[in-house]
Amino acid sequence: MRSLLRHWRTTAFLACAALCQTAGAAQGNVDWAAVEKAARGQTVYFDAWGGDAAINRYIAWAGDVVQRRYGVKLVLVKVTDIAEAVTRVQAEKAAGRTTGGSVDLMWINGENFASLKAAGLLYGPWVDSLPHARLLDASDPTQRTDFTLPTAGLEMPWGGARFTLFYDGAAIKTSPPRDPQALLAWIRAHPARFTYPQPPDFIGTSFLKQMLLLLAADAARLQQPVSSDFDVVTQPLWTWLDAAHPHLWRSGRAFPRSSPEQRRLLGDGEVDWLLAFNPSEAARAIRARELPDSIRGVHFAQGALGNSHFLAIPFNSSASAAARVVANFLLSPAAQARKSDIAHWGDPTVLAMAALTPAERALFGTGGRDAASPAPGPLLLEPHPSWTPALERAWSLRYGAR
Amino acid sequence: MSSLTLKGVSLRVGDKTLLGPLDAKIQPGEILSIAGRSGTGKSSLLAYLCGVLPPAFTASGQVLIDDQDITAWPPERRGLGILFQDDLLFPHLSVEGNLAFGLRRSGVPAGKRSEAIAAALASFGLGGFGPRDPATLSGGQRARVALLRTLLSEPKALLLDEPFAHLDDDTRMSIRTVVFDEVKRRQLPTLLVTHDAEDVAAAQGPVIRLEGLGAIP
Amino acid sequence: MKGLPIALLLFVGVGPVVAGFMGTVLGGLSASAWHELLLEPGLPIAALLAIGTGVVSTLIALTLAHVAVAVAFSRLRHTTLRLAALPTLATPHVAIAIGLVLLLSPSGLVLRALSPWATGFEQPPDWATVQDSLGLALTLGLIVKEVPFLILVLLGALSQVPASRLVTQGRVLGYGVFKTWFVAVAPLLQRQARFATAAVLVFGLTNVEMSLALGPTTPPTLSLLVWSWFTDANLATQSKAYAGALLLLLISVAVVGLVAGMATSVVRQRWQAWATNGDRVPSLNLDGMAARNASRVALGLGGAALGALLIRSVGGTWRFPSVWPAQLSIAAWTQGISDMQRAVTASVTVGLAATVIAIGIVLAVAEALHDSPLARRRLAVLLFIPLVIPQMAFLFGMQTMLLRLHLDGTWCGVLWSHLLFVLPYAWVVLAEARAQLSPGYRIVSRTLGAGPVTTWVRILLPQLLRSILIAAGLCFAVSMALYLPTQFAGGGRIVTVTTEAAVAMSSGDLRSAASYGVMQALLPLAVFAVTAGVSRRLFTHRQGMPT
Repeated sequence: MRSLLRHWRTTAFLACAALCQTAGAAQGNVDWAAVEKAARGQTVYFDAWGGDAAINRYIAWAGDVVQRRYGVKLVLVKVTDIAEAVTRVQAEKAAGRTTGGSVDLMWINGENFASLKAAGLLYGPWVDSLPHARLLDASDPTQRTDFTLPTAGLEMPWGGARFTLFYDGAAIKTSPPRDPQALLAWIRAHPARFTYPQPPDFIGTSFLKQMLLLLAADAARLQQPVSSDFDVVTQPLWTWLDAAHPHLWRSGRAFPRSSPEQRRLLGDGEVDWLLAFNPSEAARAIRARELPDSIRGVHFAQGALGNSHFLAIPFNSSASAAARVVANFLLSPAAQARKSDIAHWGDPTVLAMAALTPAERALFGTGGRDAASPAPGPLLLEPHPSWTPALERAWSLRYGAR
Repeated sequence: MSSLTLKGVSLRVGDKTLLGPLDAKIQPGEILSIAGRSGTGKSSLLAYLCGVLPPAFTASGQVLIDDQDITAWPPERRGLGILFQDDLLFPHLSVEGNLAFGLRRSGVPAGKRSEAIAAALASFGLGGFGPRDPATLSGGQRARVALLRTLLSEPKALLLDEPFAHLDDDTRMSIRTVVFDEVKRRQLPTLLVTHDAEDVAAAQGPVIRLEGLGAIP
Repeated sequence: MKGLPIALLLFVGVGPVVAGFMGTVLGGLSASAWHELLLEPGLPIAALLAIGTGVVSTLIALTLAHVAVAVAFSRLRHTTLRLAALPTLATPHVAIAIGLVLLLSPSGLVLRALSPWATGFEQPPDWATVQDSLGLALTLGLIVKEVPFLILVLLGALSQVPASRLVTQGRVLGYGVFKTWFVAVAPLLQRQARFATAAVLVFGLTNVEMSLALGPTTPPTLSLLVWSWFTDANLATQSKAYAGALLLLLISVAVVGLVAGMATSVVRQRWQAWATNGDRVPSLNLDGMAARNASRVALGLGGAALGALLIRSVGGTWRFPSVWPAQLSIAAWTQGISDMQRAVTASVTVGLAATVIAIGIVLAVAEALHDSPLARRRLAVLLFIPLVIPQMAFLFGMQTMLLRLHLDGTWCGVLWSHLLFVLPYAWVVLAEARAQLSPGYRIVSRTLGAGPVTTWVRILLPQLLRSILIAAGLCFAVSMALYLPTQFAGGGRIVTVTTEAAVAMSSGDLRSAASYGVMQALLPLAVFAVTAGVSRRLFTHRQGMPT
């Protein structure tokens, strides 16, 4: 019985592979069955931010599946910042290692993608040749441009993100602030109950960009590279921060190192706010008993900073075939549905629901929103990547050395 | 019955001669005393005879047992027994274990080794001491066990490096008597280095006195 | 023949340090890198923080350790003290630091236990009890971790010093126990412990893992700044990191020199005057002294930090001011079980291999050099280099070396990087133990007819076994605690319990961090328990064995 089942699975899988192959051939002229054949037995070292146990568990699950299904071994290499992996690829390039690199797949976006792309350190283009690439949501602008840079098929959208503020509904019973001035007023009225992760933490820097997009006189200017007008453009942000900092947690002299650390502060009751990129963050954490169930999410009324996060393959990957097989699996409706489930990770999908079969759509649940997640609102696009280091440096000059 | 011969033995540290050249032939049962203060290279001489001279020294000359030149032989083949002022019983072995380490495999059949050791202990007035921890023995007892261990290895010659210096007065006399009696009984050519005039007198043999550098017969 | 083990020791234990150091120097010798470095906002504060926390923590830890050893000696309680020091000694820095955060932060266990009944706090106060801008919490953390280490070093030195006779002599002359101790014994102990003290000082100045958890962030300590540059994707920042590593090295050398110089002048002027003033101070009594209680608190905090780790690792939602988590959850243990297994396997295999290899090499070299004290001293100085210069000063370059050898990210590469730090500890314990065995044992054994191998195996090795077991426990604990070397050589591919704890810590996931911290403490303690148990069962009826 069991072997019969396996046989049926194999057949279904082969049929699917054949289908996908035609689709792939149309897009990228790649023989996908050959890719899977080459992938079998390979080990994929997947460098990813490893700071969240739920995400690590999700990747471990994916590893089990690709091992079983494609004979690919997936090893998660946890980094505290993906820049570490970027550094390693650069060091390997400098040491002349053009094959057999130590990174096969990396979780990336923004300025890290920009620097690898500029230095020609990425494999590809490969994304369009994936069988599941046709399921991607073409209407989502964050999937085609990463911080204003065209992805050019060098990185695969993996998940969506909207900058979200979570607050403790037990402490804030009225409607929460939804614009910078209201937030500032709340901060002044409630000393030491608000904070944000210290830039250059990803969420910390994103908070700066979110506030700048809301405060800047001409937000469209941020879509262009930084130039000599940096001080003028960013002045409203510094004015806002100067006003807020004295009333922050630790009077703005210390900051949590990361969003998960701020989550712990919220859970312990040290602060009333949490900033995160994942709208389902609180829902998942409540389920995992990391946060009390009084936490609620909110977006700024004017719009939430939004982006996608991606997977990329370095130029010297020793297992590029297997890396593509893993990426394609992570794009499958089943994997994406599990990812968006708050029982596992709760990260928004990058697939277009319209491109899915009804059965596949059903995997994503009823679509009902949980109490802790905010209603979707307007989207604000990421600034050009050059703003990221510039903002981080300016922040560090102003507030990093007290 | 063997003899121990030293031919032109000298020791140097760098280009400084510490001792020698020494020439001596020690007959069976004879005790040659080498007397002198510390720092005259007496102990290094014994180390050279044993084949364990530290690399800081250089030496020349020949050592012979009977007519056999053993100068280049490894220590374990030379057939020399040595006793130091420290008894150097192996602390991790029992008294019996120490003696068994000394007892040669030839001569005593495998099943009889324990008996042979017990008999040897009894002959030294240490009957029943086999299972004891050496650390629980008195100084005199330990000295006797050390002597017995050396004798059980059936040496062809005996080297004594101030072997009585650490013992208290009463014990020293009795142990000296036991050792010298065994030397006579087994007719071992023996080289004694000491700074103690009583030892030299008790040995009743030829004497070489060392005065810093060089030897004065 | 003799040269072979020495060559191997130099190749394994010193070679990578030299190569790595050269690499760092080459990488940091650029004017633009230094220009960038010196323009860094907050650089002077970061450097002052590193110097302040390093020097103050070392001086306090050293004082407390001396007082604790003096008191234990006067009451014949070495063993109790050794046991009290062991848990914190065996627990790596990362775990102690996480535990202290859980204890001392405003929502930590201490304030929870006092709130609201004593403090009136319904919410955690906005106090910077950890990550304060003066680095006080970091200083405290370093003290808590280094006091036990220094205590064990001093207790070890005690066996080389005729302490009882010296104290008796002093008391006969009418001096109080403690004046005698600090005039006659402590200086001798300190002389033996000077390398260890320098190592503690340099670690305090340059550590990453403790500042990560307890240090301030605006700006962080210099070492943390350099570490963050090294992991920056921007290539220009990389050369700034090399220059920063060199700056760390310069600062360390200068501070060690300055502290040593100042200590010498204090000894010359104040201590000698005090020692020779003829005042007997028979009443000077350490029992009630603040320093003694402080050393108790330091040891106690280490233990309490371990307890806090354990509670947090099984805690669910936990609002202030509940003393206990609202729900218990073993999720952190069960959900990450495969990661935990992987990390434990790597930690244990690397730790055991490093221990066995280090002990093997050191035994061979100790045998070759047992009668050459000068050569042993020179070799010891070389071996100690990795401990007394900042790790980052050679780890950057060593990573490049491993990259060229295709050993980066491999188990072997990590093993090699661990050997650099394990070998000196194996050397300290074993080379001395071997040299202290009377040369007569070898001569007696050889003349009794045993060959060189038989002599070593049957006569010398058994007498070294206890030292070997001590070295094994120490080496394993050292390997277990290594964070930066593992991170550099393993490139994230080789994941140990320590790197996992640091990843969880740096991303603020305290529950996972706590579970890894508990494991970090348990593994070396288990090895200590095994080696101590075996050691006690060895030669139970042989009182003359070296201990």
